[in-house]
Amino acid sequence: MKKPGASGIDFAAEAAERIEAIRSVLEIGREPKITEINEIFRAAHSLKGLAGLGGFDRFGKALHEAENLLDSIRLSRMPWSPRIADALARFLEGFETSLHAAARTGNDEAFPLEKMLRLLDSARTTAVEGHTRPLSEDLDLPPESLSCLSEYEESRLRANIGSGMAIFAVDASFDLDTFESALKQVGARLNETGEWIATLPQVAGFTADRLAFQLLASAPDEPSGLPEGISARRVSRQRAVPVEVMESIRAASSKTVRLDSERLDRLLSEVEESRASYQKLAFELAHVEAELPPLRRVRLARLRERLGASVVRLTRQASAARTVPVSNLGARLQRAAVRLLETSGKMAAFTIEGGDVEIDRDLAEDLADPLLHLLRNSIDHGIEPPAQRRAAGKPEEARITLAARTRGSRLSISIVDDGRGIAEEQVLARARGLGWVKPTEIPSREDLYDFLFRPGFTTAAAVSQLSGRGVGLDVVAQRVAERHGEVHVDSEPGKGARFHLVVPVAQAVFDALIVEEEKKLYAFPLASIARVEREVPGAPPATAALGAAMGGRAPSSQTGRMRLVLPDARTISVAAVLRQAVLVVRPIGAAVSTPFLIGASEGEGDEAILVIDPRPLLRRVEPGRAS
Amino acid sequence: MSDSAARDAIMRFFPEPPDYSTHELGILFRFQGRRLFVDAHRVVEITPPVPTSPLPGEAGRGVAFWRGGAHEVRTGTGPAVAFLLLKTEGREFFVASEENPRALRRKELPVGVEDLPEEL
Repeated sequence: MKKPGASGIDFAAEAAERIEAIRSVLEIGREPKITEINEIFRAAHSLKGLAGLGGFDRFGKALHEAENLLDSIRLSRMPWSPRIADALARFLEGFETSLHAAARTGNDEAFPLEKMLRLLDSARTTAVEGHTRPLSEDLDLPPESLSCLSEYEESRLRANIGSGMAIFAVDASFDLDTFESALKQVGARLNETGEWIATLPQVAGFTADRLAFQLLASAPDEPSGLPEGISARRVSRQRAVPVEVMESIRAASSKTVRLDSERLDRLLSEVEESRASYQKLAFELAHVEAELPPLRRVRLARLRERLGASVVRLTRQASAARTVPVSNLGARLQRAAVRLLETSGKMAAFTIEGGDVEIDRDLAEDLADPLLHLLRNSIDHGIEPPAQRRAAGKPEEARITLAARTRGSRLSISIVDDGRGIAEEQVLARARGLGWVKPTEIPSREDLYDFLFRPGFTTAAAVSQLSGRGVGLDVVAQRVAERHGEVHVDSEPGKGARFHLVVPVAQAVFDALIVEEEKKLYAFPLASIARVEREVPGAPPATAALGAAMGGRAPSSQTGRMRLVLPDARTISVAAVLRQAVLVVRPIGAAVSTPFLIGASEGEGDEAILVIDPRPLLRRVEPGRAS
Repeated sequence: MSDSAARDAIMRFFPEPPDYSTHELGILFRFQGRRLFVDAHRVVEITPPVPTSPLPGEAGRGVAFWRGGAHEVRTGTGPAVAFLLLKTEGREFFVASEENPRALRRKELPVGVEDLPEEL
């Protein structure tokens, strides 16, 4: 047995980054690209090596099997499948748990090796063996060339042929002194239009001062732009692929760079400073420009506009660098749903709406646990067993949806199910049992739902395997509150429940309409406004005047005022419409308690421009109207 | 917030910062006529007044931009001479001070000074 101490800690520290690399691919939410499979194969291989160095034999054996499984996938011996992703995710969880123990004890005896080997083996046996057709049936190449291919090269040829790409042979000979750079040049050219797969040395054409090669590459059409004297001939019997397949293959070969998040934050902060400074500079320039000779004025204005457009693009791209699509989060929940459903004996389809909504990476990480808890809750308490659903006239398979959307600088994310809904009588009974409600008191539905989020509340008669582990919805509310967000619940008995989280996002970039009211600037998301009209004397009044709706005074006259028309034809009167602009909108502390306030954007003269969501604003003046 | 960050904030603002650690120090300021004391470790920054937009329907509250972020401002009744960016429960907000803030040890506090309440 190893002694507790540094080796376990060192191994755990070294392993953490590789585990994260594997997990990031498993959580992509789609089938990984070949580059991504290669990446996690290498990470598993490194982990195995580290385990060997540290003397962690049980870890080493399991990692060897995981590596083999990934090797089979990258060599196209078996296809990727959600079951394999799930098995690898579960393996990683088990490995990571034991890793923490190993860091304390210095040994891996707590690692459930047999269970993990069974898990990986089961995933392997359910996968379909495929791609067994000999390459000679697809490629017009002599057997001696085919016999030189490595297993990996064969797998890439099969994968490319399988996706409809054409394969080309490129015969080339180079001077002995410069062959390396010349070969790379041709290969790079081939990679521009497809994938450079193999390089086979050729006996024919070989001289004392020249080397000859045959390069095999995939491409949709015959590769062009090759150096003089080098041409490509098609050797596959397949047709060329559509452009979108080509694009996906190109994307698969694109490179990624890992960047420390603190460095990224500093970079984003610099971009934001530059944007704010540009905005102020542009404001000052606009005043100076008027005094310049016409030609210089036009030149300066053009430059200012170009720089402005560039700053906006830079801000948008920098903002996107910190984000991940909600589908990443969804994939993690989907795998959890598969496991939880297996345990519960219930049936449900898990779907994701708004998977392309981009959210901050840290926010995604912070929301993962609360959402997982809500999912567990939904499976454990919400959806009914198939027989009960059948008896209630529902499909045996329930529906659970993760729905996400952004509204200005707020993210709205929900777990919705079509189960039995919240058992309000049980909630009331439990609240009475806890002394939160007097025996004669009938709380409102809103108060009743609030009890769900209080520490110590649970209606579960016994601790179930899925939830009720002593951690209640109070933790969900707490985690969301830490992000300055809120949790809302809707439920209809027999129809289902919806747990809805609303959290501010770090920043949002969108087109906005800047208006003036009571000598202050405000902005509305452009998407929320259908058109702008001038107030016409004698016309019916607007649904609301902006200042009055926010608690100020009603305008004394309509003369000269403008009217914002919403897509539902309701209108907001404002003193003036100034311009359209791309705004970087930040949340503010008061945003959640002031529902119509989306956030604030830095104005040209240092002041904050408050960004208004018109629908909640109008709810203040039309409280009875649903919007 | 780390002790050194609070120290940096105090060093930036006071021409001659007192020679005490931020564990001992706090900032005395005036808000809506009240003299309030806040422990130094909660002070993120002390700045001259930052242009502030009032929050509609929220008397005494506004929004100001500082280093690329939008911060809630608890505005005073009189003109502000300084802003204190404070941190509490993970949130940062500005408090407007109606007199120049002073860095003091708690035991040096004059009579009648209150601790910064949870809710301003």
